[in-house]
Amino acid sequence: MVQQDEYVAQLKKYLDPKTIARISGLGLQARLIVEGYLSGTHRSPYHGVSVEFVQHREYVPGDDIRHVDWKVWSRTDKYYLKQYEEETNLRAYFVLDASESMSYASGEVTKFDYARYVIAALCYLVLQQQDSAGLVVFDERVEQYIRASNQPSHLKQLLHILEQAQPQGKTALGSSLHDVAERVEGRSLVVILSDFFGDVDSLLKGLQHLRHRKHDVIAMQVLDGAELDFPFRDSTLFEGMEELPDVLTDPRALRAAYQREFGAFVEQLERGCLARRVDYVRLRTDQPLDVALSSYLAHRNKRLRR
Amino acid sequence: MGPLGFLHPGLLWGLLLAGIPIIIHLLSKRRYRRVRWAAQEWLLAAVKKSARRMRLEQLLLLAIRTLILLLVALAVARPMAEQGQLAVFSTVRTHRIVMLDGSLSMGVAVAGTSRFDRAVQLAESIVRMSRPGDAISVLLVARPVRTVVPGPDTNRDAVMAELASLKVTSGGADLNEAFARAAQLFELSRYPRREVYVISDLQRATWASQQLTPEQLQAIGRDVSVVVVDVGSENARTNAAVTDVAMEQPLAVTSQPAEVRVRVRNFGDRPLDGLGVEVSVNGRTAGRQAIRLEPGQEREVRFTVQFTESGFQHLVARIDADLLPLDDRRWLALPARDRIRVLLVDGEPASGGFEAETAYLKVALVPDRELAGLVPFETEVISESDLIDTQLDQYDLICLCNIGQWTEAEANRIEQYVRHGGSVLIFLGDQVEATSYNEQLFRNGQGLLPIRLLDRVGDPVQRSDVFRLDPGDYSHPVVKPFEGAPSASLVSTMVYAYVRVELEQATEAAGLAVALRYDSGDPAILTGRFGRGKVAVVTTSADTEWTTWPVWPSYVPVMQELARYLVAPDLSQWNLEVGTPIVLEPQPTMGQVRVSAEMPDGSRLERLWEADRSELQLGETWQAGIVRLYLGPPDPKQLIYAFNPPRAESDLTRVDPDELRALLGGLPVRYVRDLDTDEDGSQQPTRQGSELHRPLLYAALMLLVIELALAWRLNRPH
Repeated sequence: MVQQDEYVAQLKKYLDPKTIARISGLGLQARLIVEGYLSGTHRSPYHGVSVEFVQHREYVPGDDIRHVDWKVWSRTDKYYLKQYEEETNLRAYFVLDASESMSYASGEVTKFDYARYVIAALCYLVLQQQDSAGLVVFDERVEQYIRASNQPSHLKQLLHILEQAQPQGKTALGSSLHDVAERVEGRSLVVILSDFFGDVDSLLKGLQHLRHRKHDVIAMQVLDGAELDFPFRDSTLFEGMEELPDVLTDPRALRAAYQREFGAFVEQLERGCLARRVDYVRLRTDQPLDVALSSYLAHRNKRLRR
Repeated sequence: MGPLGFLHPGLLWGLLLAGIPIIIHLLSKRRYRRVRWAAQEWLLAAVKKSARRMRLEQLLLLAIRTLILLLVALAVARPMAEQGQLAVFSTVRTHRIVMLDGSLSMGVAVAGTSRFDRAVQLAESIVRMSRPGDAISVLLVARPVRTVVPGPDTNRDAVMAELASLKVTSGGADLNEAFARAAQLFELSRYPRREVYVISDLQRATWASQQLTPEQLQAIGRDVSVVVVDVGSENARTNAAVTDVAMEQPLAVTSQPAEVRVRVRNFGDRPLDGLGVEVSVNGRTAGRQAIRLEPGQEREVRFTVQFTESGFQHLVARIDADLLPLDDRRWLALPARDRIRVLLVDGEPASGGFEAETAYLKVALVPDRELAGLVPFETEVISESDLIDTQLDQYDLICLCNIGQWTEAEANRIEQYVRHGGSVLIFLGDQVEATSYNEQLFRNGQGLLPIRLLDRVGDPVQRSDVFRLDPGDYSHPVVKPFEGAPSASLVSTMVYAYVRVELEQATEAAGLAVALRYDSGDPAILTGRFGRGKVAVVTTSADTEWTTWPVWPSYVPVMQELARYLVAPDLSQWNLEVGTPIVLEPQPTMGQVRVSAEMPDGSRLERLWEADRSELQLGETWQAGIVRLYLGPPDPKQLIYAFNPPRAESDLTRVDPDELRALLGGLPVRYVRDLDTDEDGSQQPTRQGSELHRPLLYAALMLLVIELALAWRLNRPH
């Protein structure tokens, strides 16, 4: 039992973005995050899923032996797997903001890295649950669009795209979301990971478009702790990203005013999401990654119960 | 810095520290961290809204920090409200009379700054702090008092210029006169408010020696406020002074060395060892000695000097300089003679031997031809009848021996001669007619003869009565050398006859003195003054007719002394105390004379003197030293005067504030102390609490609290 607890604790630490950042390979990172997350829960998200049996298929090494149909084995002495069809047919599209502003980090982990961990972990989770996962990477426009698929091998492709992506260029959230809304097929779950820095009105219009297409939308705003707390003390030259001018100032004197401005922006965003029945989740890069996972799962459960 | 003074003015460089916050501020603008920042949009918005407020707050903080350092730096330099105490922030137009003590003791200098310098600085600050409508008068309280700025003067620059040109005098101070003048000045002024500032060292000699009468003080007015500023509290306790320099013999001749007596006194409270005393003649050092003086001790130091030329000479006695240099020197002006010409008028002339009346006297004055170089006398004998035709003023001394009768013309001539400074020695004898002497020469006390002649005593032929000489207490200068020298045989001298004189009728004013008496009590030798000259009467004969004295050993020295006494000049006419005016009597023979005076400080005074009509008076004698007076043309002539400080000024004892209030009884007096300064020059803050560093530091502390609060408020999390 003690050994079990130690193992759980070991896994749990991978929820810390700083720890996970030291591990190389997005695939391993994704798995560790998810296992770290799951190690604490007693109810497996893999179980209790309402599925419908479709057919049997012969076992090949690598398949999960839990799906082996032992009744068939007892009769035929052969290993067959039960195959189920998704009753809910969940399609999740993960939309990653790869604009320059996402490259900011006050510590070791950039917002972009954090967002990538979240997407990688969620992709892993989605595909483990036999759901379909798709990926959209955008900055000024949609750079990458991977259609959703529930094939386990799909994960490899998704992770590869994620690893290749670099944060650069300006953001054009509104137009990119319009584009996404047009491309995503059927009713899907659209999870957007972005700092949402840019014009809030056009962003909300984009979200509205997605909602209009009957998509479920989770807006996960990835923010650095420094962007919220503004902890700077000495005279600092703030170099603008995405073609904004530099500012030299005494940050202590400016802190209150900045926090007022930034708070107003976040609040406007949150309200806009609420009004459009878009789930808004705020992620801080200095927080454990389970917040993102929990909110995804909560959303999925809610949707499945509907 | 206005009315501020600083104990450590060098530390005022610390004010530069106040630049540190500004430099830090400027450097911080150059030194900054760089951050690539994503949420720039909201930062820009915040900057746009609060830039103005931030700049104001920063400037406020910067100003406070700079001010804190300024205050601390100022406090470290120990500012003194030296004049702060004097400051009268009155809105009423004020007439201020500044009385600067100009007496010698104000010359005490510690660390290069004299009391007088400080007094002038204080006076200047009083002028500076005066408001534009206020008026100033300045009196230099010397002896005599000098009105520097009669005022009421409202021109500050003019007053400042006058103050800057003031010098401390070498004399005393006449406070009575100063207060009287102040009262006069106030009488003339129409200012509603009146103040008197007396800046003095409170020397006892200045303050306690003069009785300031209540009437005088009241004359200034009851409503006048008097501020006494004490600049003498530096406690100078060592002072030595030359208190006197005099000749042993007032008659100086080039053929003989002369002895100078210098008196030196230690006025301080610690002994002085190895104090150098030096005498120089006409600028050349004649001798130097080192002496030891106990506290309060006065010693006489003797020097032998030789005058090499005739005419006016000046002598300086000096000691090593101390805190008060003005009393470390004393001057003596005196004429030196090559020879002394004596005219012997013989009432009983004879040729050859010692028959003539003047024969013994002549030998007594010039005993030997070989001694002529040592004895300054040069004699010439004429008969009684030649007297009327002789030019008398070429002789220094005229001896009238046994002249029988006097005509009015003869009496007038001889009187005129003495009145102008000549000297006469009268011997009596058998030819003398007392009535003629009394009528022509005594003239009931109006003539040159100081006493009335009576009858003859004793019989010169029978020699039945013998009178011996009695020098009494040897007090007269003529017989003083015989004191304690019985072998000089003065008392064994025998006199057989003499003329009695009437002492009771003698006028005191004639300066009559009996040098020698007979054992009968009657005078043998009398001396007196007439005009500017001297007269001596010997009541017996000059030869051996009435006495054996001329062949007695004491005759030569007495005659020598008597002649020297009679021709010795009165040095007091050329040796004056500082502040005494030079007075020249009218000279009927001279017309208009150009007079040029070279003062001790090198300045020159030029006057045109109507010599035949009025006397000349030169009053600007505030400095000690030699004053040369050049008379003429026509008939160029040089006179030398020596001016010396009053002895009392060397005593630096002071009156204390309580005594001062008593002295100025009845006047509302404020006593303000300048600075406590020790003799080594280090200054201690006065206990009067006029220092400002404490309030400055409190202010800095308060600002520091404000700065902290403000900085916290500006940076606190909202």
